[in-house]
Amino acid sequence: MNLALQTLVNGMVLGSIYAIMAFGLAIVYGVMRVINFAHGVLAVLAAYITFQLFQSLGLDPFLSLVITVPLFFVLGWLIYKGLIGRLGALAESSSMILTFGLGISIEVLIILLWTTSFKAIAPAYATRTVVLGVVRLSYPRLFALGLSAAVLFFLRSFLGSTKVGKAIRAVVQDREAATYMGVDVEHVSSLTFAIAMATVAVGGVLLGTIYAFYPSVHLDWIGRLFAIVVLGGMGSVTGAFLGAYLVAIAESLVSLLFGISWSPLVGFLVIILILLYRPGGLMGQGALTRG
Amino acid sequence: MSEPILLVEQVAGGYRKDYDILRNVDLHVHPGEIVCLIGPNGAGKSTLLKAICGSLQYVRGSIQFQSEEVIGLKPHDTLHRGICYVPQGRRVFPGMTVQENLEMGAYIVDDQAVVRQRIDHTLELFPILAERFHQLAYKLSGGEQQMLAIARALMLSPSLLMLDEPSLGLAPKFAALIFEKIQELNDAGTTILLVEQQAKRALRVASRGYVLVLGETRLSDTGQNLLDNKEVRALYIGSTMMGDIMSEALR
Amino acid sequence: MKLNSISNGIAITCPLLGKRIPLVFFCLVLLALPWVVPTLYVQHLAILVFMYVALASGWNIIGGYAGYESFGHIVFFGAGAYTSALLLLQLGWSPFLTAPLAGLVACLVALVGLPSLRTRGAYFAITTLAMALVGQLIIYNFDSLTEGGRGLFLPLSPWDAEVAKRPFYYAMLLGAAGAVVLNYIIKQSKFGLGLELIQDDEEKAEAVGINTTFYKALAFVLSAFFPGYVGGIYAYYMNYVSPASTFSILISINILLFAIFGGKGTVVGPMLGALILIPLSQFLNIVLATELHVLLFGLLIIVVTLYLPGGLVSLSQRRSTNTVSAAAKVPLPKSPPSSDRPAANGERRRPEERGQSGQVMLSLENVSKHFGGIAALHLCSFEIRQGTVTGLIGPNGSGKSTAINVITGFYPADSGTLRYRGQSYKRLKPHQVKAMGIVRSFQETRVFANLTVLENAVASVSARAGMSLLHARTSPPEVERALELLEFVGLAELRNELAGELSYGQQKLLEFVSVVMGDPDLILLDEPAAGVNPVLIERIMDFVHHLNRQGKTFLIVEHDMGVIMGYCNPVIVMDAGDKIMEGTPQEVQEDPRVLEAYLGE
Repeated sequence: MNLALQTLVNGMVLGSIYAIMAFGLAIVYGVMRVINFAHGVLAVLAAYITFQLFQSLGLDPFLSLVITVPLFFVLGWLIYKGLIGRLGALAESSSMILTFGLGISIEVLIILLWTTSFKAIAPAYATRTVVLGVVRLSYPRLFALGLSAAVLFFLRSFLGSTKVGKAIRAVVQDREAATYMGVDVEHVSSLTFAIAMATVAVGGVLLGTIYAFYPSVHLDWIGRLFAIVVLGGMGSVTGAFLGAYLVAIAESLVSLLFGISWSPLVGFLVIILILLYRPGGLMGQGALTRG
Repeated sequence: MSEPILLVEQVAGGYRKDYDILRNVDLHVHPGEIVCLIGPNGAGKSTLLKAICGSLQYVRGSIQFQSEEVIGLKPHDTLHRGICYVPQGRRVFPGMTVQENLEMGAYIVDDQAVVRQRIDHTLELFPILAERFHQLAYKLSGGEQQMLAIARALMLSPSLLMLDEPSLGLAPKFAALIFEKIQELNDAGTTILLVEQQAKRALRVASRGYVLVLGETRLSDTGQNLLDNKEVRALYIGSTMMGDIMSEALR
Repeated sequence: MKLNSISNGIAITCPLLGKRIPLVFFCLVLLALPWVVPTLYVQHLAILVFMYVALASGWNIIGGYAGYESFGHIVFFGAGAYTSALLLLQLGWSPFLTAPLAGLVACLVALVGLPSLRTRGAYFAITTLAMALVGQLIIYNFDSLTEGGRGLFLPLSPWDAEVAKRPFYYAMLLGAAGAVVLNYIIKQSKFGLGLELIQDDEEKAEAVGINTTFYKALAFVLSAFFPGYVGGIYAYYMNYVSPASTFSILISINILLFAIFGGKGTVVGPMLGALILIPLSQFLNIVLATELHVLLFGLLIIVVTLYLPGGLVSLSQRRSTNTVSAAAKVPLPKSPPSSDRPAANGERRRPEERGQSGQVMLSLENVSKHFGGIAALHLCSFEIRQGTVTGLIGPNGSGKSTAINVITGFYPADSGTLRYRGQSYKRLKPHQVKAMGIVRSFQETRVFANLTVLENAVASVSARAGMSLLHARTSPPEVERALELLEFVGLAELRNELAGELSYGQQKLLEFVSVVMGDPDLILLDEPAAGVNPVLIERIMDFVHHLNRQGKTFLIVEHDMGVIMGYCNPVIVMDAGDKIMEGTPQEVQEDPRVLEAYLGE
C-alpha cells in the first residue's frame, strides 16, 4: 500500500514534467500544425545550460530559470522567424523533418560544447528528502512538483484569461474566423512558439535536477512526449495534461511491477492502442477545436 | 440621396491567380440600408464579401468604403475602418464561452471598459445570449450560434455589417428569428450587406437587392421589385438564357 | 516492360549528368570493383552505400510512392539483423543464406504493424517511430535470448581479412540491386500508379476504384523486405548486433533523409541520396571531428526541406512549360467516341448485362444519415431508372451531396436500404461500389494534381488489386481510349501536362473523362456545371446525352436550371433530407412546393 502510494506520487512528479513538456508540443501543433521534433533536444540544451550556470557560477538551477526562460523565449522567436515560419503551406508535411534536422544539429552543438558524458545537476540539497506521511520525496522532486504545479497553473490562466491567450486559443479553434476578428495569425504563431520554448526551458531544468542526462536522451523523451500529445489528441492542451499524468502513472506502475526497463514501452503501446481504436486521440477529433 | 458608404466598381478576382470567380461586380450601399445579394450557387456571393473585408487573395477593381479605397487591405485594417464580416456557417469558437467569443469580437479594442460596455449592450439586443453567457459555444444550438456570431460582429459597432447566409442550416423558426433581429438592427441604424440563398426572406427585409450570376451583377432593384420580378424567379427555378437556347435546339 | 529488355542494354538516364550510361556497363563496373580496386576502405564504403540504397529504396515504396512517410523504418533493419544473428548463433546457419529469411521476418513485422496505416501524416510518422522504439525495447527486455543492451557477438566470417569483404560486397550489392529493381517494377506498374494516386488524393483514389487498404498494406510489406535483408547481412559484417546500433532512431531518419534528398517517389532518387551522402559523411568524418557530419546532415535536412522539397532529382526534371492558361481556347468537339468498344480493362459488357431500359436501377428506401444532431438525409426514398438522365435538385442543405456520398459508399447510411439492380448493399467501400458499376464526380472537382492529364484519365481503370503489380502502368488499349475521350473534350494536346496546372474548366472536363473511362453503368455527377461557362456546359451535356443514348444512366445534381431543364427527365426534388417531388422538368418548374423550397418562406 505504501509502495503504491509512493509510486503514485513519483508518477505525479514525472507527470508534471511530462505535462510541461507536452504543453509546448500540443500548443505549437494546435496553432500552426507543426510537429516540433526538436522539442526534446531543446529541453536537453536547457538542462546543459543550467548545468553550466550551476557549475561555473554556482547558480541554483531553479533560480537560474530567471535567465534561461527569457533566453529560450527569444530563441523560440528566432527559430520561428528563421525556419518554421518559412515553411508556409508545407508546414504540416515538412515540419517534422525540418525540426528533426534542427534537432540533430543542436545535439551536435551540445556534444561539441559539453561532450557526451552523463551530467547531472546536484545542488547541496539534492539528496535531502522530506517525508509526507508514508511518502518520501527528495527536495528536487518536491521543488519540481511545486514549480510544475505553478507553471501549469500559470499556463492555464494565461490561455484562459489573457487577451493574447484567448487569441491563441481562437487560432487553434478556428484559424480563419480568428483572422476576421483581426488577429494577426503570423504574430500569434511566433509568440506561441516562443512561449513553447520558454516552457521547454522549465522542462529542461526539471529534467536536469531529477535525472542524469546526456546529449541523445531526447530521443528517449520524444517518443513519450509524442505518445502523450497523440493520446490527448494533437493540439488539445487539456488532453496533453491528462495524457501526461496518465502515461506517467502507468509508467511508474509498470516500473514497479515489471522493472524500469519496461516502462518506456507503456507510452508507445498506449499510442498504438489508442490510435487503432480512436484515430483522433483520447479526446477525439473535436479536441482540437474544444481546446 | 446620401453618399454611398460602400462603392464597389468593376471588381474581379478569386482564390486562384488564373481563375476569376468574380468577373465584373458593381454595387453600392447607402448608410442605413439593408442591401441583399442573391443568386444561384457558385455565383460568387461569399467571395465578394471576402473581397470587401480583405480576405480574398486575388482581387482587382475598386472598393471604396466611406470614400476611402480599401481594396487590398487585410481584415485587420478593414475591421478598424468599421467593416465587420460574419462568415458563412457561423464559425463561433467552439471551445470558448459565449463571453469569450464576444470578447474576441472586440479583439482590436484595447480599452476593457469599452469592451465590457459593448458586451452589456449586445446582451440587451440578444437576451438569449445573456442566459448562456458562460456556456461553451459548441453546446449552443444552431440558431443560438448564429446569434452569437452576429453579436460578436456587433462588438465593434460596425459601420457596415456583412452577413453571409445567416439562415443557412437553420430550422425555419430560427431563420425567422434571425431575420427579425436583422430588421431590428437595421432599425437601430446598422447598415447591412446581406448574402442569402433564401431569396424571398432576404428580399422582404432589404431596401435594395442585387442578383449575382457567374460573378457578375445582373439585376439590381428595390427588394419588393425583385420579389415580384419573373426573371429572378427564372434564375432560380427556370432556365437561364443559355438553357432556353439549348432547349430550343433540341426540340 | 520486360526484364530481358533491360539486359539488352536499355539505358538508364543519369539525371544530373544528362548523359546516358548504358546499364550493362554500369553493372560490369559494380561487379568488378572488388577485384579492380582492392582497397578495403573503398569496399567498405561501397558496402555502406549499397546498404543505404536498399534501405532508402525500401522506404521509398511506402514513403515515396504512397506518401506515408515512415519514421521508424529501422525496425525492419533491426528485425532482419537480429533474425540472422540469432539463426547463426543458435543454429549455425550462415547469414548469407538466411538474409532472405531475415527479409521475410521483416515483412512479418510489417504485417504486425499494418494497423498503423489507419493513421496518416504526422500520426503515421509518430506511430511508426513508436514501432521502432517498441522493437528496440523488446530486444532490450528479452535479454535471455538477445543479451539485451549488451548485444550479441557473432563469430567472424571464415575468409582471410584480405578478401573477407568481398562476399559482403556482393551480398549487399544484391540487396541494393534488388531494392532498386523492385522500385522500378512498382513504378512501371499499375500498382505504382495506384500508390501515387493514394498519395495525391486518397479519397479520390478510393472513388476511382482503388482498394486503398490493400494497396497500402502491400506497399508497407514490400518496403520491409530489403531493409530486413541488408540488416541480416550487416549483422554478420559487423559481427555484432545491439538494440542501440540496429534500432537507432538516427539511422531511421537518415533513411528518410537520403530518399528525400535524392528525390522521393522516384527510382533513382534514393540511390542518388545514398550515393552522395554516404561518401560525403565519411569524408567529413575523416576531415572534421566526428560529430560534425551529423551537423551537416542536420543543416542539409533544413536546407532541403525549405528550398528543395523535391530532392536532387527535381533539379533536372523538365518543368512542364506552362502552355496552359485559363483563356486557352478549347477546340470544337470531334465526333463522340463510340462506347461499343471494349472497356479498356478488356471486359466487354453485354447489352443484356446493362439491364433493360426503364427498370429501377438504383433505389433508396427510407435512408437516413445524421451528422451530429443534423439529419442530412431523413427517411429519404427515391429511385433512378435505367437509361434515364435523372436530375436531382434542391436548395442548399437539402441532402443532395449526402445522397451521392451514401450511394457511393463514402458515408455509411445510418438506416434504410440501398438497392442496386434489386440487390441491397450495405457498408461497401467506394472502390467496391465502383466495381459494381457506379461512379461519381466530385462537387469541388478533384483531379490528381501531381499526375499528368493522361494518367488521370487512365487512373480509373484499375486492374484487380492483386494483379496490379503485373500490369503495366498504362496499357495501349487504355491509352487509346483515354486519348479518344480526351480528344473529344479537347484536352488531348495537354495529355502530358500536370493536371494541377490546368484551369478550373479544364480540370472539370478531365474529371468527367476519368469518370467515364471505366465504362460504368450508372454515373452520378455532382454539380458538373458549377462555375463553368456555358460553352463548356454544353459540351459536357452533349457528351452526357450521347453516352445516355448508348445505354448509360445518369444522375445529375445541379443548381443550373438550364442543364436540368434541358437535359434531365425525370427531375427529383429534395428538401430537408428527403424527396418532395418528382416529375418532368415542366412539372417541377410549375410545382408550388418546389418554388417554396427554393425561395423560402
